[in-house]
Order: sequence, then C-alpha cells, then structure tokens
Amino acid sequence: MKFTVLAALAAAIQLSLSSMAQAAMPEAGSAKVASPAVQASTDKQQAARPAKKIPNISGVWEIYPDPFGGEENTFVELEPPEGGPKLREPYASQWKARRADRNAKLEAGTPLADPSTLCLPEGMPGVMGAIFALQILQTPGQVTVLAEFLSQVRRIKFNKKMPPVEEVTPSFFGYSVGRWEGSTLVVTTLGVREDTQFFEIPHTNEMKITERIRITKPGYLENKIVIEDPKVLLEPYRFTFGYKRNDQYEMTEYLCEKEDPLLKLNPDGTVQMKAGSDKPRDDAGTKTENKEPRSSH
Amino acid sequence: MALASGAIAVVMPAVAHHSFAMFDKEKLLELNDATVSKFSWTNPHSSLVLTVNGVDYILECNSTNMMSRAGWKVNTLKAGDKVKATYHPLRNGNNGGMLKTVTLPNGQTLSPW
Repeated sequence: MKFTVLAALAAAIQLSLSSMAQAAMPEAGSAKVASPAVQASTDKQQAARPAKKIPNISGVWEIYPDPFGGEENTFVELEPPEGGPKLREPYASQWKARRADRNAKLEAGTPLADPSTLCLPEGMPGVMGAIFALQILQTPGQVTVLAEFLSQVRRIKFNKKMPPVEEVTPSFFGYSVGRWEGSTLVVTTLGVREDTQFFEIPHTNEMKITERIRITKPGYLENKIVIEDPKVLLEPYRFTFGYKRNDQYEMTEYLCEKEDPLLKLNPDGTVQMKAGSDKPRDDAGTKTENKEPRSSH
Repeated sequence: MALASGAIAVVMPAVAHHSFAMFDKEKLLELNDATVSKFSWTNPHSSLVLTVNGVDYILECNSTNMMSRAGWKVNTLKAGDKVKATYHPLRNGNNGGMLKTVTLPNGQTLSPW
C-alpha cells in the first residue's frame, strides 16, 4: 500500500519535472518510473515532444564576429545593423537628421552622450548586441540573460501568456515570453519603454520584438531578431546577432560610479573630459588647482 | 595584438566610442619620468592622473572588466609609482588624453585597450 503511494508520488513528480523540462531546459536523463501506467503516459509525452532536442544554451557568450577585433578597429563606431530600419516619414527624415548631427559632433571632437555614456540600461534589443559578455542561464520555466555591461538582467518566461500590450508596464527590457520550437528558442517581447531606443530608432509602445535563438554549430549561437512596429516602420526590421561560447570568461559586476570622475555632461548633451578641460597647455606654472590632494583612501 | 612585454591588448567596445572623438588617434605622445598622482579603478572607465614636472595629465583608460582582461588589477598602480606612458592627446590641446601604454616600475608594459 505504502509502496504504491510512494510510486505514484514519484511518478507525479517525474511527470511535472518532464513538463517543466520541456518549458525551459534540455531533456532530463532517463526517467526512473515505477508503474506501467506512468510509463505509458511518459511515452506519450515523449512522442508529443518535438523530434529535435532542446539544446543547452547556458553559459557565457560573446558577440561574434567581434566588430572591435583587431587593433585597427579600436576606434570603430558601431552602426545600426543592416544599415538601419526602413522608417515611415516623418520618422525617416528625423532619424537621418539625428544620426547626421551625432556624426558631425563626433567628427568635431565634441561627441554627444548616449544613454550608455550615462550608464542607463541598453534595454531591448540593444542588450543582445553583447557589447560585453552575456551569461545565459536555463532554469525550469525561465531563461535569464545576464549582461556584463551595466549588470543588466532580462528574464524570458515560459508557460506564460503575453498580456495585452496596454497592460504591460513599460520597461527597459519589456515583457518576454519564450517557447521552444524544436531546438529554436522563440521569444516575443512587448512593452519596451518608448524612451529606450536602439541606435536612436523611434518606436511606439506597440513595438514587438521576436527573437529566434539557436545553436548553429557547437559553440556558436545565433539570434535572428525581427522588430515590428507598423506605425513607424515601413517593413519589419530584421537583423542577426551571432555569439561564440566562452565559458572560461569570468563575468564581473559592471556598475558605474555615481559621478564620472573623468567626463562631464554639458547642457547641450555633449561630453568632455573633466580635469584640465579649461586649463590651457601653456599655463604650466599656475596649475595648482589641477593637483589632487594626495590622500590615501 | 601582443605587446613587447607579452601583455595582450584588448580592444574597447563601442561604449567608450563617444570619447574617442575627443582624442587625436593619429598622434601618440610620451610621458617619461611620470609619477602617478591618482589611479581610479572605476566604471564606466578607469582613469589615471600622471604628473610630470608639476604638470598633471589626466588619462582615460578602459572599463574595469576590459582592464582585467588586459592584465590590469585594482592594485596595478598607486599614487607615487614612477612610470612611463604613451597616449593619444586631447584634440583641444589640454593636458591629457587616452592612455595607450604604461610601463610599470617593474618594467612590465600594459595597455588598457
């Protein structure tokens, strides 16, 4: 009597683990099942499972190919992927003018700050550009992406229904729901704040981001992104980020100092170096205000 | 890119690109007989103040994660250390710029990029 109850309990736990496993994790090891009835249910569940296995994408991933690889690319300015989106007017002209203004100020040596300069989260989809490493964690019911840059976190929830967009609290990363289609992780994100922009591209609160994430070959991940926002886009904006696994890399915390010791933000939105910025080069003899007190702390 | 001392330089992703514009990437200046006045190991970028003949030069470095990957540690430099450095100067002519290399008292050369 006792044995049967225990067996049923074990089977129930096994079944629920299996369904959670399908939700987020790779297939568990072979089931330790007691009764034939339970074995039959498990077989049925396995038959209903897609033929391709859910891969293990947990680990540390770095953008690949690396746009800054090689010394010649130290100073390279990142451009929006695929040349940018196809925006409707007047957004297209406005965006083009904004980018031109930014580039002109860059050329002049008086660059504009951007949210990253100010240590604001990149949000979606920018965080997936992996300026620094991404750590992906697969756990039951959730895939979590921990970005080293600014210690950003996004949670992709499984077995959850996407709420209507008007009920979604606007946030930097939006509300993300994921599911496995074979061995591809498909993620839908709604609710990214309108002031969180990717390369200054405008969007409405209806912007929908769809990602298809899969392992292309051992050690390489691909994220095919589609951004839809019919009110501002003429057509969906599609681009792909690639990543290479680097599990040897130890992720660090990346949070900014309250005040940047190096740069100051001007009222016009440009940045410049702090110390010495208004001290002429020839003034060597009277530079006492430049000297920092030599205190140890 | 490997430096003469064997230190590996790593490149700096876009996050600092805003400030690259302030520097002359074609010019590389040297600071010899420099003394460290201050070394700040912080994000979004570390910084170094070197003093030569009473003149302070403020030099931008990289974020701490990238510095670590390039072989730096929080205690690599401290006030009073005697070093040599090369840097891309500020375009506006003020004293300072973007640190390219620093040679430590023990002879090791490191780059923050």
